[in-house]
Amino acid sequence: MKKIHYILLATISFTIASSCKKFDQLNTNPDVPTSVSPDLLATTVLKSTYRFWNPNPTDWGTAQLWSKHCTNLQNNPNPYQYFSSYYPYGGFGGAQNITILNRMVDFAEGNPAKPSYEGLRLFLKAWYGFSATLDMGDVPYSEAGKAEEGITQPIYDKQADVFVGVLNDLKAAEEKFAVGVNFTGDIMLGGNAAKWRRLCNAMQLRVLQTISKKITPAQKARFAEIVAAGNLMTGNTDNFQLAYLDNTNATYPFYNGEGMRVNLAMSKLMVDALKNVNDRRLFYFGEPAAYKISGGLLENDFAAYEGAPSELSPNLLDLNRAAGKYSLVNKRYASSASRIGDPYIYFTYAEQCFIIAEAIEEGWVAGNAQTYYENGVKAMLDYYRTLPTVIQTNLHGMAITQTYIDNYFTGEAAYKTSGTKTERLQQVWMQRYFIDFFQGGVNISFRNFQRTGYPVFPLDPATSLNSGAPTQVPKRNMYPTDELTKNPVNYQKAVDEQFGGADDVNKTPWWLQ
Amino acid sequence: MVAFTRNLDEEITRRGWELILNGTAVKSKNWQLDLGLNWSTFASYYTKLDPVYSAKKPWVKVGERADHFISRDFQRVPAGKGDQSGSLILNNSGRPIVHGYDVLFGYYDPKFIWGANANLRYKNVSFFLSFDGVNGGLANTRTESYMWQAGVHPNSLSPERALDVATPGSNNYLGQGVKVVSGAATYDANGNILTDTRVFAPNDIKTTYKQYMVDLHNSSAWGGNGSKADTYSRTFFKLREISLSYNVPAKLLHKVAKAASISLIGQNVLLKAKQFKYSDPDGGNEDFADPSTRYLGFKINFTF
Repeated sequence: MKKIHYILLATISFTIASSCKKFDQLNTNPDVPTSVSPDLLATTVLKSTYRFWNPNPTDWGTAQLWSKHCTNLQNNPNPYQYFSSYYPYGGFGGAQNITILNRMVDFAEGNPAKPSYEGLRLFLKAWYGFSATLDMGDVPYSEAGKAEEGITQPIYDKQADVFVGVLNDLKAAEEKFAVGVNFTGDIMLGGNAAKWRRLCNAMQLRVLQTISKKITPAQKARFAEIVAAGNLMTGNTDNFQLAYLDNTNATYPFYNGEGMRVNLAMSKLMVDALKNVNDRRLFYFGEPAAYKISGGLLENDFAAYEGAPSELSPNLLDLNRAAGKYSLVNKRYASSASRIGDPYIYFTYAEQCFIIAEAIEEGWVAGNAQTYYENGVKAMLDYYRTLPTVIQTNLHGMAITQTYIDNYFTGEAAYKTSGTKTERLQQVWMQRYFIDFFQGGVNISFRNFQRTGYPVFPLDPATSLNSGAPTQVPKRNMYPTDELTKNPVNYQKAVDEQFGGADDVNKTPWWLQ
Repeated sequence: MVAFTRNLDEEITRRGWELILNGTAVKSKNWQLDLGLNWSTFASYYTKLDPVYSAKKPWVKVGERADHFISRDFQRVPAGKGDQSGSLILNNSGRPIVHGYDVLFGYYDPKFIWGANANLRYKNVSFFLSFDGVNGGLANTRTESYMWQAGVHPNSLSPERALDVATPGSNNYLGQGVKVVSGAATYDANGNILTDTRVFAPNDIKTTYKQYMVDLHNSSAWGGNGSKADTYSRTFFKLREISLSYNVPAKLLHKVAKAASISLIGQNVLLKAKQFKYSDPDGGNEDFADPSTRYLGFKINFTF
């Protein structure tokens, strides 16, 4: 009996000892791949980065409110309309993707397109850093995404250094794409390395202009150098955008959104600005106000359109909605006929033109600002003229034609060469603002407003929900609350150094000082 | 994909007492009375914290309870401002403001739970009663929150609401609280006031009744704890079961069956809750729980 016990004991010990050795192997699921091709990871990360966060009509509609392109007419709308957020926190989710991007590059070993995958990794890291720093202020950048190297509590870089890091990474990315090998798995630009190279350059222009209040002479020279080198976007075919598919997982977020559309009007800011330049995009973006039509005006008349003041109390907006006083957003957006809606624009050739036009006006670079302004406007008008998702019957008889584009620059739309610099810059800024209408809250419009104060976002202290400072628009989001647990020392240091210890939405980050 | 997993060195200990009394008070040939009583109290406490990964919150400390009920309160006048302290701070349109920081409302777990039952038998007839209840602890009522937001709560019929409806676009509800006349406050990461120069005056700005009630009872069906106005005490007691049974004597069965009984049974017959009225707090947290359902039944039981 005793002997049997010993044998049993020995067997058990042996089993434990041997299984310990194979622990890793035992825990590797043979049915799950341990290695993938880089294109699959590229698609995964691009999708998680550029897909609208929650693609449904309600959230897409809400995304239009902060930048004042649209006004929600429900009598209890999302507080976003009045500059308050249910969740006023930024996030570092992008940095988590960096680890995946590292795998993507690892798995591209031996692949001729490896430089392009490296470029993509650099570009996306810069994209995350740029978004995060504009959103919050100082953020981890030089040590971001290095958990595998043991850095789980990265330091927060000063905002100025983050911008420098972003610019350096974009430059490095441009050099990788300049090798010119097309890659697969790209849902944004079809893996075209040349287009990515041009985007990396244009993106540097955007970043440099964003810090226009703080830009150094060396950085201005860099701007001029990029323009002079000329590897920039050449037209709408280079636009950085996410196109939708006839697929339930890649559907236009406002597909079948009629329930939301009937409560979503164009803002007064947007309608008035379009009317001011006789811009036919008004007929692509909106519907005529019902009470103007019943009052005898025709749908192809600019006067039949009226925007909703976004600062009005919900109670009054709801009453005016019931009375048909506002131009709702165009019916074509909410179509249930096709899942493919307008693409989600991130960076257009037109915006690049406007960035350069502003830089010329500011004397950063030599050139003809008027040409860039007109090229930008023409490109955007042509974009809508040729956009395949536009439903021609929903344009109220005012489709954009080549003749219309050729004759656009008259009256208020003509570049004010004899006016003041401010007047010309405002023309450029307003055209840049038009690009983002009914996009996914791209934020560029909001960042431009923060930087330039134009177009002026309407604000009524009586309806503002920014309780800390009702007379102003919030300047930033707070850091994610879990930083207090995950990275408390660095978090506290960043908050103390920038904002005197108070992580508050109304504190001014460096780039706006 | 790459995922990192780490075990925390945090330790939570559940401690409590349970008391059970069971006994037969009366027993004779014809009569029998069985009584049962149980009472228990328990709570979870932090007994060890992870120096790096435990949440850095004022309520996470060794010795503190771990079943904290956290949510956002409305902004209120801080202590030390005389009569105004504790009043709601209303914004420029007379609406309450939700504070941007979580605070501790209380604890989920009750102070104690209890149960009592009795079974009285006379010859072949038995009468059974079972009560139980919960005392203390907090729970949200999502149901009432949404009743308020939708305007179907019976208490939401008010003169101000009638005025709002009579003249669309008018504001008739004056919220009880103060408004900020001047100054501002700053907060640290936990919402403690760092500096405060605010001067308050009684609110004189009216809003609509609907708007105020929607603000006051705001909560989201997509998760998270709701407003303080919808945070209720879980205290309740229930008559969980009541039954009357008759055991059919063996001689009446004529060997068709070994045993047989007939019972009238009622479950969930009576519910008295301290604060919950339109839903059943029995589940702990009320996220659109149904109203308490009463079962009444009749049972015939044969054993072959």
